[in-house]
This record gives sequence, C-alpha cells and structure tokens, in this order.
Amino acid sequence: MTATAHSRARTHARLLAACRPAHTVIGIHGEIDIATSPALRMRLRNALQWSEDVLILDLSGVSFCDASGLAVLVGIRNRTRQFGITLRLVAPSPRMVDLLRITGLEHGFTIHPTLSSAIASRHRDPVSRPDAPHRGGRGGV
Amino acid sequence: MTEETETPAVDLAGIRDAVSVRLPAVSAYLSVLRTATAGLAARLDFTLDQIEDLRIAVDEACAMLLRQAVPGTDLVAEFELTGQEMTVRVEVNTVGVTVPKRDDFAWMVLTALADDVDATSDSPDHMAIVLRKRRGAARPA
Repeated sequence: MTATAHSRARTHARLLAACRPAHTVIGIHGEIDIATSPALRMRLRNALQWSEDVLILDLSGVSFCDASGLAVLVGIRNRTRQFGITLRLVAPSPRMVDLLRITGLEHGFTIHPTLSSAIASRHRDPVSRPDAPHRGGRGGV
Repeated sequence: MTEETETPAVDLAGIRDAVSVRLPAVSAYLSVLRTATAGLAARLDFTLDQIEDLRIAVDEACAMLLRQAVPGTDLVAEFELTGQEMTVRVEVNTVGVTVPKRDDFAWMVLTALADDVDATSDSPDHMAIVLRKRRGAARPA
C-alpha cells in the first residue's frame, strides 16, 4: 500500500523539457508538495547540467504548490546565479504569486506572463559568484 | 456533502459536525488530506479562495509535522466545523519535539493563510498544530 502510494505520488508532478539555442524550457505539471518536491529538485538540478544561457520554468501547469515547492525554486535560483544562467518563471498561478509574496521571495524571481515573452526577453540575471567553479562545461554532461 | 448552506456545530439531529481522518504519516497521503480539507470547507460555504487557503494551510501544517513523525505511525487530522469557522488539529507521534522555526517558509505560509495557528506538545513524543479559519475573515496582508 505504502509502496503504491509512493509510486503514485511520483506521477503527480511531470516535467516536459525542450532545448532551444541557449534556452532551456521546462514545463512543470501537477502538484508540488513534500511528496513530489525531492524528485522535482533532482530533475531540475540535472537540467542545469545541460542548460546554457537561460533556463525557463513554465509553471502554468502547476495545480498545487506549497512551501516545499518554493524551496525548490529558491535552490534552483541560487544555482543558476552561481552558474551564470538566467532563470525565468512563466505563468505561475495567482496563488503561487501570493505564496512568493508571503515568503518575501517575489522580488527574487523574474516572472513572465507567457512563454513567448520569457523567450523574447533580453534581461539577464546577475551572476552571484563569477569566480565559482563552473558546473562542468557549457552544455556538458 | 457540499450543497448545504449553513452548518451549525450541532445540527437538529444532534450530530456534532466533527470529522477525523487518520492516514499513514507519509507525505504521499498529503494530497488525500488536501482533498478532504477542501470538501469539508465547502460545507461551510467558504469562498474558493478561502478553501484554497485552508488546503495549503493544512498541507503546510502536516508537512512540518511529517518531518518529525515516527516512521510507521499515523497522522491524525480532526476537523471541527461551526457556523463560521473551521478548526483543524493535526498531530503525529514524534521522537522528541522541535518547535517550528518562525523563519521557515512553511510556517510563514501557514500563519499567513490561517487566522490562528498554535503548535502544541503535551508530551515529548507527540506534536500537534491547531489552526483556525473563519469564514469571511480578511486575510492579513
């Protein structure tokens, strides 16, 4: 029973990834809670290995997100800044924006209403530690 | 279950409007508890926004407790519905008790979305969070 529940929980959140020149777009679908966020964190960290200049997270398919989901976003944002990658969030639900505001995180992310505006944007995040060891080569792994 | 408009604490037949849900203290079951929470909140004619507040608040309370729950034990959630308010008490068995950190994202979200929150422990192997949500109360900014 428990094993079944665990495997079901893993199916609640899905990723769809697409590579464009210098842009990686990842769509996250489903519910992000403490059951699904560890796998999501791992998958996003892996995605950073093959992200180049810009990582776009399309959140329009997220039907539920709690503080554990916010923690995943903060962790990824910290890594993208270390690696010199620009992170853009697309179409979070109004409720998710609420949670970012409640936790004081709203100014830490660049949020776009649509995927096309996120792709078209020329804004770049600052690099937090330009001298940090690189993740292992552009587009590598 | 969801169509009534007014729900007193004790109805005309003398039935106390209280519901207990017992689940394995495993994160995979949180989505089940969120669904139950939404269904019960609908009985009190909460707005959709308030139902979502409650769903997230109960999720955050449980997420904090599950970090400390003894594996193989249960999480118990008790919902009490009165005319204007829902009180939810969630509790788990623990090894030792750690007070929730006030700067924790989960605690920030929980206290912002519920009208009252109290973390209690009457013994070193037990921890509970009690939260209340009133119908029609404006959420603090």
